[in-house]
Amino acid sequence: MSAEQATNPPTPRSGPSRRLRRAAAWTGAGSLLLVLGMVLLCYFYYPAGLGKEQPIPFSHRVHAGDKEISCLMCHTTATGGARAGIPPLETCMLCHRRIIITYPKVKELREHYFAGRPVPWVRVNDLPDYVYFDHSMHLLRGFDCGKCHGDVKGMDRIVQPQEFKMGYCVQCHRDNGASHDCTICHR
Amino acid sequence: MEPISRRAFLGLAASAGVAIATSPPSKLADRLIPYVNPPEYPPSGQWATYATTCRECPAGCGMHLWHRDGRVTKAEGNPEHPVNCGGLCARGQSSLQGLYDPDRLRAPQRSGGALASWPDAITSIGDKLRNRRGRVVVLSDLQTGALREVVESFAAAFGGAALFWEPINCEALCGAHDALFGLPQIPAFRMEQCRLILTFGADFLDTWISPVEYAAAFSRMHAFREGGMGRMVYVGPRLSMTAGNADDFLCVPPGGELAIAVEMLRAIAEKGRPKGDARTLTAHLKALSARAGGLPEGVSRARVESLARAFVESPSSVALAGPAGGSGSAARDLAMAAALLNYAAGRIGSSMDFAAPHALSRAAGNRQAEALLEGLTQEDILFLLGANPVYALNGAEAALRRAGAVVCLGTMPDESAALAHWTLPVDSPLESWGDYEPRAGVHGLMQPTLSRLHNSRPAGDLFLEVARAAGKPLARPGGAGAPENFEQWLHLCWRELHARLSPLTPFDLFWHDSLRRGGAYEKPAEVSVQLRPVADSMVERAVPARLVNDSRLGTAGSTTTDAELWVWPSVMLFDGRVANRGWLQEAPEPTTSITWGSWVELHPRKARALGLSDGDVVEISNERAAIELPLLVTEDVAENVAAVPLGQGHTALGRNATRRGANAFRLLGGVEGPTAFGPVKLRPAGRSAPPTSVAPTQDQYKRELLQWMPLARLRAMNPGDGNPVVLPLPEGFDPRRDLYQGRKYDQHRWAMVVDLHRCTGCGACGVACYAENNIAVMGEEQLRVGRELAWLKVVPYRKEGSRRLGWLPMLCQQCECAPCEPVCPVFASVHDGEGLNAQVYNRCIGTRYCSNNCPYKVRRFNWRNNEWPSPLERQLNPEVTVRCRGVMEKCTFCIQRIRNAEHVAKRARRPVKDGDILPACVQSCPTRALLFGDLLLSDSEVSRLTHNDPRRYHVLESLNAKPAITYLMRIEQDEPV
Repeated sequence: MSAEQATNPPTPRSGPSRRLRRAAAWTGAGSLLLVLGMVLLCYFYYPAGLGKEQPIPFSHRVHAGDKEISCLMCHTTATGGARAGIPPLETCMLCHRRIIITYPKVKELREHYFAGRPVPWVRVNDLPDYVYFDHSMHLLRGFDCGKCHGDVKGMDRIVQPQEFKMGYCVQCHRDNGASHDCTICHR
Repeated sequence: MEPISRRAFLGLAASAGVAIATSPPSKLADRLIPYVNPPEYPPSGQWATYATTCRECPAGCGMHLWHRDGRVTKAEGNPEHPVNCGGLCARGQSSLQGLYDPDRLRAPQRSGGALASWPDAITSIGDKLRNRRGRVVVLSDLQTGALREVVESFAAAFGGAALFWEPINCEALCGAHDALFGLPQIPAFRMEQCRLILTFGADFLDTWISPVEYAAAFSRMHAFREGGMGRMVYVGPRLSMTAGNADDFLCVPPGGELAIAVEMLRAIAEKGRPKGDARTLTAHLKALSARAGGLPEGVSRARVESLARAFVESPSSVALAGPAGGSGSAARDLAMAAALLNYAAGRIGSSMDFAAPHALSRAAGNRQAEALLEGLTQEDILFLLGANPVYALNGAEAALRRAGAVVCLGTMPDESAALAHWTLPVDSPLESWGDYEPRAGVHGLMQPTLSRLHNSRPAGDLFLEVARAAGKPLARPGGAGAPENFEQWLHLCWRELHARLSPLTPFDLFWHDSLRRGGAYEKPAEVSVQLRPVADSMVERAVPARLVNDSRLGTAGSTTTDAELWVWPSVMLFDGRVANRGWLQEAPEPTTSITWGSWVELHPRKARALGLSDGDVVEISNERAAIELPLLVTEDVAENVAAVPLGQGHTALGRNATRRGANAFRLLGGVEGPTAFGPVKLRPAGRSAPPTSVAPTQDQYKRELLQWMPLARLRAMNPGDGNPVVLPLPEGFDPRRDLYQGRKYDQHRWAMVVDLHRCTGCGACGVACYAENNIAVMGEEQLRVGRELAWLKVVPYRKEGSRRLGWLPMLCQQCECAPCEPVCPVFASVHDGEGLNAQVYNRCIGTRYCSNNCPYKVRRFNWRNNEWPSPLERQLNPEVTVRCRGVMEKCTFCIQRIRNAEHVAKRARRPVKDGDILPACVQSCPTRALLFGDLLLSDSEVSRLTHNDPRRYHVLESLNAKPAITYLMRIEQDEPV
């Protein structure tokens, strides 16, 4: 304790500079709070939420929203089978063989493609175990993908709009007069 | 226990908190890794089927392999294949367990188990060949087509010999047909068109030559049609599965079959105007009757004569000769007698057709294999390809130890591989290219159905590479090219076939069409058959001494410790090569329901004379070996017979096969006596070790579970006659009987019909169910305490008041008023909207009330968490839940297949058609005994039979559970022939 007091020089006590410093500190703290507040605001009140970060920041808003590319263009097996499917890199290259090939993230994608190295996308939508869901049956019934997947056209980073729990499924099956036999989904 | 201190408690609580907060890495996959460039086929996450050829036995059935995301999960019969027409036996189903066998060879090994690299192995073996001083000999299992060519040219290149040997080879048939007609062949037996099948110990529904094909043909000839049905007469010493399906079973001691056959021949020759060359026939008959004994006890001359009359007078008939494992002179004599019967009745060219000889005709017999091995010296190099002579051939072990070098090419670490200097793992048939011609004109093609699992190589490539390393690259015979690898070799072979079969279509089209269909099929050319005169050697052969007195056929002349050996390949384990597969070990043997072991069957009188009872261990010995087996006392064998199944008693091969039962091949050898397998001595071993049976009784206790209907009664009935069954539909509601209104179904009401008359009891459905529904193999200890998991069991029952056997496939009856449903406290057992009795695993808390209340006893409880030793877990069906401990499970009618078919129909915007849905058991059934469909569809086959077939009944109908499975009674012939 005594050593500390000995090493610390006495604080200068000049009036104006001390006031200035206090004002500056307040301003700094205030603006920091403001920025933080803005960031939090953006984060939480972002149009449709912000999902998990992906190895390459693929934006569904740009592709499905701005460019109006159909979901089925990339998720090709959704109408023909149980799974919607994650598109192979080959699908990206349908366009990005020629389009904005100098954009750094597209460049990265192209590197993956030419090296034959798949992109390890992070799983967003998670279906619980022991459920056998079939995409094609729901699309055939005329449901839009957005019914379960939310406003994908507005999402840069995809987020799962709700947990796919049994209550959610059963409620929809009830509302639409679909069977809610156990064996419809469980085997 | 000491009270926990405050400090320790806080420490524990803190570390638990840290552990939870830092959340250990989740086992769930949280990355999605798609293809860069997807393959064109199969689509990711969807089923694809590949056609290939089954190589589990010489029958060579066509298969469809269900492939998904890089692994195959189910083997099914190929409906387009001319051999099996869609059915597949238990062993064919189990080919997947052979592929994923956890004990498979994974890398090249030197003797002693030291691992080596492929280049090492190939150069080292190549050097051995280069510096050889002796012969190079190849002993292979039966191959035809490209691999046979490769092996033959390999042996030829090094001046050696190649032998294609099968342990169960029917060489007696080849020998007999050679002696009689100059054709050392096994003809095609066209049983479908026959009205009478007469079999002398040939178990053609179990394992004899081509069981799936014959079972299908038998079920058609034996079906009730236009007021009649075909008849099968079985003459033999044991009530095998085939004998159980016979209309007449003449239980005779070994050797008695020949006596009956010769007596029949005599009756035909003397009274019945034989077809063909009567003089030569008489000469043959004379030669044969010198070697045959008198008629066995209990079979009268009049009976034999009426049998002979029926055989000749029936529009078409065929006589078959067994046993499958018999190789001595007695088996050949019997085969000659049967062939002569066919000749005398004019069946050559019709029901016994030499135009399409079976591939087994090209297999070497035991005698040839023994000769080959006996000649081995210190200098010789022996290559074994898929053959396991140490297990299946007496004396082979010494020969292998004598040989200079043994190179074993195989998939399993079997007894022969244990003695080999080099063990080279080859691809499983499901991973390989190849072809196989099960009978002339049926060119089956094999293609890889998934990429290889281990560090193995195609067998053909290995021969090519070793030859290249030894400085003698192989080329196809006749200068038809020197392919780089086996696949090219196969292509060249098929180019020749293409030029012959369809020269007008482009080769690629022909090739892809053959791949899709599982092969290319042609109609073979006709052959003319002439009876040869009696060869001198056949007449002069000495009559065996024991034959001089006829008492050999009874018990009078023999001591109580003597018995005639009768060795039979079991329908599940065949010659033992598949013994490491849990499904087959766990599948009950059809006649005894015994699993996981082998046993000896003795007649009660014999057992009493020896002072033995059920379960006592007996030592069975002859001059070659002595084995010990537990006893099963049964009246199903002739009195002087000791019947032993083949397939068990391995000393290597893997975890399920090793040290289980005893190896009956040890007792076999070239027998030159009046019976196929010769006499054995029996001696009590003084201990008891009963085998594990999963059907404790075959008695029905008057419950009429399995019913028979006399043919005469059926003939008088019209569709709709007979006892109506209470349908599992609203119309089955009766206020006097039922508490609740019947359920209404809007879409479907799934139901099944089981034609017991078609069911031969082979158990293929049970194994198919294991494969499809992720049913775990429990093991012998668990089965012994009744903890079996089989959803479908084919239970043998006796007809009330007789020894007649029938089989009752018992699976969940999907009852309308299911007794299991109201007793479940948590609604885990519920009825669904399509009539299925669903089991909800997540709700189940394991009270087992449902199982207690189920009158059919088809619910199975998981007493433990089951494990699939890697890589067996890759066989699991991704569409079926893997159940955990504490959960009840049962047949779901293959709900996953129902859903798939519904989805396919919905996508095509059409209703589900009758026949769209094939549950695994229905698909696999060789005889089409099982039928699945929708009861609401008035024109479905199931609906028609349930409403109208006079033979329909429900098991335990009096309980009013209203089962959805309707059984059709077995039909009984009016009077014996």
